[in-house]
Amino acid sequence: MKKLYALLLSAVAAASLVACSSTTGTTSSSNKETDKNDKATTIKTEVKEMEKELQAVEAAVKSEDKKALTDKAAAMHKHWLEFENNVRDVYPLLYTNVEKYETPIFYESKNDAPDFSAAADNAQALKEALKDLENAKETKEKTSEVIEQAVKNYQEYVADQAGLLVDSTKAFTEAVKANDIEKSKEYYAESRVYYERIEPIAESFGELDPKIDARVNDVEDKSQWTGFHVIEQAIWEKNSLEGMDKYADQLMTDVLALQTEVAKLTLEPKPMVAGAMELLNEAATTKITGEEEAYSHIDIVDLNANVEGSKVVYQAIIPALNENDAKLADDIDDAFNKMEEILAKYKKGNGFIAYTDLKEQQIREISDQLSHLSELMSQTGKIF
Amino acid sequence: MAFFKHALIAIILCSLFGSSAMAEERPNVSRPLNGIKQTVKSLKEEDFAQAAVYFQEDKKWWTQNKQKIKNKSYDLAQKMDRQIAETSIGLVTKDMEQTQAALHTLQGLLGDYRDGSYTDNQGNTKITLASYIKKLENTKNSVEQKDYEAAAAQIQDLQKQWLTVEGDVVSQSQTAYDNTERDLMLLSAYIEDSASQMKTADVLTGMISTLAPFKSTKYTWLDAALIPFREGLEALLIIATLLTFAKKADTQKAKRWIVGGTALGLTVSLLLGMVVAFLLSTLAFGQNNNLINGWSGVMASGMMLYVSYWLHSNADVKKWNEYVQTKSDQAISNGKMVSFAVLAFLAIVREGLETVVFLIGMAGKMPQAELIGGILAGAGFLFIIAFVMLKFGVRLPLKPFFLASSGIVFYLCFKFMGSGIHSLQLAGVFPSTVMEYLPSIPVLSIYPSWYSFLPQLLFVTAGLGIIIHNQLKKNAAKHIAA
Repeated sequence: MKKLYALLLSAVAAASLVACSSTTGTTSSSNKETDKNDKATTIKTEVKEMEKELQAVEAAVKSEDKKALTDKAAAMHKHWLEFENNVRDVYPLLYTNVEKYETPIFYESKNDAPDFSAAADNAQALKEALKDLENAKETKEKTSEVIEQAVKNYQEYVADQAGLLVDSTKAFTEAVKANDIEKSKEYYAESRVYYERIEPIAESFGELDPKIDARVNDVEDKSQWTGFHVIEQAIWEKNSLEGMDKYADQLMTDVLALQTEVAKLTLEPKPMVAGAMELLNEAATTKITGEEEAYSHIDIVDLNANVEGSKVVYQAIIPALNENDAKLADDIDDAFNKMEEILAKYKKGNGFIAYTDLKEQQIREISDQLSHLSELMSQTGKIF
Repeated sequence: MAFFKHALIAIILCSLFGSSAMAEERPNVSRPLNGIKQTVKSLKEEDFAQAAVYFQEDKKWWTQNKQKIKNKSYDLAQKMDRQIAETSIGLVTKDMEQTQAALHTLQGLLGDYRDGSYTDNQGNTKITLASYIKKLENTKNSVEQKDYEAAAAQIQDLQKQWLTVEGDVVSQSQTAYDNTERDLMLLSAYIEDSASQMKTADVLTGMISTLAPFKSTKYTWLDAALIPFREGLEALLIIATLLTFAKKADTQKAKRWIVGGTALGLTVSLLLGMVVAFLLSTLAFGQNNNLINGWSGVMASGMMLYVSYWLHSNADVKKWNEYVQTKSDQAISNGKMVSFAVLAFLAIVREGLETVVFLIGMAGKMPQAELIGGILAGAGFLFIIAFVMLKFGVRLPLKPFFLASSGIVFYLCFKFMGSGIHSLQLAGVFPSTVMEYLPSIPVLSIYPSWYSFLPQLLFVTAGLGIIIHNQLKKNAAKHIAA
């Protein structure tokens, strides 16, 4: 009986193997090739130009000149936006590299008190990225390899963010335990950013997300409520950190547990891309409605972090997008830029204005762009 | 008979095992559905603030269930996530149209989740009767938009997917089941012929209205009882006839062969059925089932034609007695015994696998105890019929017994040929050409296609010929005697 069963099993397995084997092919026209060669030549000139702009930025960073930094970074950003599409087409992986360091410089420069040392690090890394781009040869990786690389890159990003989350949560919980309300406020906002950038990943670890991030409405039994938002309520609503020590300790434990889980994680392309969608949906479902940060009202900080996290996935999958639907890549890129532009209007200090200070029209503008972006991102699902 | 009993117990044990593996409850989505209902009501009063409060219920439900649904199906979870985001945005921006549209879509997705009609992470689609009807409607749309190529592809899918849902229908109405099987063939016949393509839409309309009453029925033990009863009755008639015959001929050996064939048929059906239900999907297997059904039906029919003739010719008592005497203790030759075993085997396998798949499919739709009780009741009833037939058949005088059994076997032979060819047409072995002027009586497996009707016509002609011929001979003999 057992033998018969095993025999049947193997027959079934063999049949399904045959059924599953399918062929995939890629096509490329010679037209596309010449077009790419032209683009590659233009890119080299543009990159040289951008390297000069970066030098100006570096000078401003060195002299810690806020005004100069804002101007030079803006000039470089404008130039980059002009030719980035070509780079994305021809050198998708290198494109992501440049974006990774260029964007933070630009947004850091807009802060009231920019972090010059962070800007200096990013500028150094950008210099190397640009050098790579200057010497680049067109890559001809297979889609599967490119996707594999994308997942690997994203996994590194998630690990980075988890590390930053641990650091800032440590500072936050220490401030809470030291009963320092002002410092707690500052580190609260910082920690939230790192969490919100990788929220879908955190959610995949079952119990950890509710323990870290549950809002009061999410829990059936209020005595079981733990995590960031308990302390948020104490800071902003109760104006007292009394009794928060145990919540701070628990939060630290949970965040460390999260980091451990992240280190063990093996991501697959599909969940990764789905995560990018989820981040945008999160932004629409709880941030733009002002429910996520019910006491601190830093919802736009979270929303911006969601968008950033989502963009990282988008950047990781650009090579695959280029192969399959270059038009979609263009559209998504535009939509992210537009979203960043809109959000930049509400920057205040090193963060954003409070949700409660947003006017209805402004909320609508953010919502519509979010909806548009999320619609575009959902179309990437067919590729993975 | 003891063997038969053991086989029955094996079925029950295995379905117990099977149902515990399949015992996943239908997810309860009444909470989010209710939330949507309240939200929609507030929207009708243009009270966005209140609507947002009601929609909180759905968001909360989503936070709690998102991971679970993601583990089942990323696609479905993503679609839901998106509609919840869209609704949230719509409520914040007070966009009535967007909010209502998103809520409507979300409601549908929740229904799909409840019914299991989505593509899961392994790429399998569980099809329910409700989603099957939806597919019929989609196909009809394609026909109405004159996109016949798409419609032809959809019809092929419909034929493949039928096995997954037919269990829901066969337990409820034999007529609806028979008619749908006929219509499935009509669909492919009409869509391939440009002159009749438009008629496909009418067939689809008919199918939708035939199947619609069963889409949301609740299942009870009676349904679980009717499946083995309906699917097993024909096989039982054959096996009981063969057994009675063996008894009349007083051969233990023949009896053992028949029981052995039956047991083997049951085992193979059970194993294959479980492999299909648990390892393959019924969807992937759909077309193969038609092949099994078809070939076993046609082969069984051929053998039964001979058995029926043989039984009929033995109706002459004098001849029978002579026969028994000449063969002394072995009235039935070895070759014949083997063919009886094969016939019993084919009769079981023909619908056996299907029955197992149906029953396993029912596991998620009613409490386990009720399901097992139902199967027991159905099988028990079959058992009683077999018992009565055997007792009654043995007591029956030789002549009426041979006439009656040859009649039963002939009727089943006729039916198996029709349904066998029809299944092979569905599997694409024979073309499904349909002629309007031919009769269509699905209950008797008479389909309006020459492929299945011609052999049936030949059977009847041959049968009638033999009866008339015998009658004439008898008359002639009487005449001489007088």
